[in-house]
Amino acid sequence: MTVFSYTLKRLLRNKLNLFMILVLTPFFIGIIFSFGSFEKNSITVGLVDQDNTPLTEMLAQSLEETSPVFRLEEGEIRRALARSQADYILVIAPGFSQQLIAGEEPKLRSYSIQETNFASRVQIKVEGFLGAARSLAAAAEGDQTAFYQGLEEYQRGNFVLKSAAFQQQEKSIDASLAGMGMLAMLMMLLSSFTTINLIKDRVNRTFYRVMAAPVPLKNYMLQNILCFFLVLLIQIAVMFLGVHYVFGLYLGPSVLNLYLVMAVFALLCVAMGVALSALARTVQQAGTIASLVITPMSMLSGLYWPRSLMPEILQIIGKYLPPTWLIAAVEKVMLGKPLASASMELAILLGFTAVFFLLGTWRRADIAK
Amino acid sequence: MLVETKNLVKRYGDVLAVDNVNLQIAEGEIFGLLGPNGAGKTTIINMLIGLTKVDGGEIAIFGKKVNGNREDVSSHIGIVPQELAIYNDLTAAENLAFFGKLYGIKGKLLQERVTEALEFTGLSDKRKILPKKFSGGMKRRLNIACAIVHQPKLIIMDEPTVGIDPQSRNHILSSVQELHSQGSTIIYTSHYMEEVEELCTRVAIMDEGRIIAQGNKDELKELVSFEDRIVVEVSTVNFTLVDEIKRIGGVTDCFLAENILTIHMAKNSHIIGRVVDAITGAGTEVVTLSAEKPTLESVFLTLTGKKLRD
Ligand SMILES: Nc1ncnc2c1ncn2[C@@H]1O[C@H](COP(=O)(O)OP(=O)(O)OP(=O)(O)O)[C@@H](O)[C@H]1O
Ligand SMILES: [Mg+2]
Repeated sequence: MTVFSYTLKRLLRNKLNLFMILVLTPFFIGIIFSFGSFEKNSITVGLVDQDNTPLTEMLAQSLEETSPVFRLEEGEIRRALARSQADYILVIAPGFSQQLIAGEEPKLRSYSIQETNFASRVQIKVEGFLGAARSLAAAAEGDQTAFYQGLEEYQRGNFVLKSAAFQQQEKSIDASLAGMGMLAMLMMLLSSFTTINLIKDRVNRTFYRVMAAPVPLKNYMLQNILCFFLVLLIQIAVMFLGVHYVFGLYLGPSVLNLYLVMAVFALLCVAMGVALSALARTVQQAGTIASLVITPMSMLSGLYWPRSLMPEILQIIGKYLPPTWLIAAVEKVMLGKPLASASMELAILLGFTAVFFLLGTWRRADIAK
Repeated sequence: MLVETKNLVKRYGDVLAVDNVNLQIAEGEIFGLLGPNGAGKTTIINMLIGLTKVDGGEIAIFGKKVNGNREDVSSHIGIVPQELAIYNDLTAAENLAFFGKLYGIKGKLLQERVTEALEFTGLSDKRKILPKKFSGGMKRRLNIACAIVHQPKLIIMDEPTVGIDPQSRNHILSSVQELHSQGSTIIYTSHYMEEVEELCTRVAIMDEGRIIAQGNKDELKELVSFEDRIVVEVSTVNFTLVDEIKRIGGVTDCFLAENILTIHMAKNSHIIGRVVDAITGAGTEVVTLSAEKPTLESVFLTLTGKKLRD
């Protein structure tokens, strides 16, 4: 492990590198979130209406008085929450209206983003409406026509509930997703450590001298890979601690799962660095290629903004880019799903990793060149 | 034989960089590989240590084929690359420790070897200094030190004295001799014929990928010296002397310029005594006398029709 330990030593001896790893990255990401526009001040309600009666229609209208309301299917709930398309989602089961009019107490299901309390504003409104509806149902004694007449009166009347104006600003997992996107981009940039080091070793001929020693090429590569992988793992840990404790970014229900997903991506970054070092002859060339690749890739993969905001053709291109799959996996663990549910995304990331490693080691037959 | 190549060939596209090279290097030699730029010296070395693919022929080092035994063979070889190969962000001692460790040396022994290598190359007081603060000559010396920490049986030096001051150069030349006397076999490439002439026990002269002559220095000079030549400075000029000398058996030519006599004679004719007798017999005295020997430079010039360096 001589190559590993000396490479690490040389990397960490450089003050600028240390500064980038320990200070700059968490600081950069933190700053973006402190001043960024990830605050919420209006609540969007998603409505899954499986009952479709005049009663549920009136409930929707009532909600629309204070919040934007859109309709969706049961299957779209998680995604809508993850992307902050909805902050609060209400599910009305079939037969709800009938049960209510019959004087029973049917339950509504609701979903909202974890660690938030602004859903109460919508809940108050819903409860207000349903409370009135229940009273009317009792008065109508099961008579639908009477019930609806009463309800219309209620709506036309001065009963509109004045809900307290919640101005509390909330961060959702949208901010966390964006944070991981930003981290992913910085990790790709930091993978340039790998490239720079491998190219420098080649240019200053130390690679030649190491290869003249009894060190197999694959040992040299593995130890380099391990070294830069370790640096990125430290980087993720530092960044998690930094953004969480200093800037209060939410890291999902399982920080460990999130960390593992980011670790898979870190390995991919190192592999990209290795591939790039084989492609470029000089550090300058590598820098040019990296900046030409990383920024567009980050944009197309939804590291800066949700992919769903982009034209369809760009979304399709994004499917062939590794960070897209990182974001998909991060989204899943952020929503509290088990790691296994992201196994397809992780497998794709590892597949990309293998391809990059192959590209990076493939044309190394003539070491002296 | 410590190193043996048979019909070694390397092509780069249309360029035949190494053309059927046969080398035999015995243990304990300082073997010189002399040739101008682009002769193929570095290419041969890269093939010897298994870092460049061989297009044809065979190499055996320590009696083993390099192909397939690279790690085994290379652990007893120290290489001083033509271009500096040191880490600028590791101190002199750390550079040595790193390369020593790659050859499996550890702990106290490593410390000792590092100190020895530093002393050997005169860098003891630069132990903890980063090479970026070194002079060119000091870097060259560190480049050599990195190749000898593991005390290899075979040391390959590819133009170790290129572009340095005379002091560092002398230091390097004497350390090559020191390594040799400690028992290492050395392959030394250069296009400075004086260096090779001074150091080497055997020499191969290369040009355009081919070995054009190989042997010890005297054997090589034999190739081009068809006659011996002596130059005599005389006290007074006497024109009949020239004719008298020409009459001595074995003398092929003689001419006088000012008071300098230049005499050409058949090889190993042992007639210098008779020449001196003739001079003194003619009533003049010998002021100085020198025998001129051919140099490797003249060997190269004769064999290729061009100079080693411009
Ligand atoms: N990687 C390469 N690709 C193409 N041609 C090469 C390569 N390496 C060497 N050559 C060619 O092979 C020939 C021999 O080169 P080599 O470096 O072995 O010469 P050399 O004797 O070491 O010269 P120098 O004294 O300048 O170091 C040259 O014609 C060179 O141009
Ligand atoms: Mg050379």
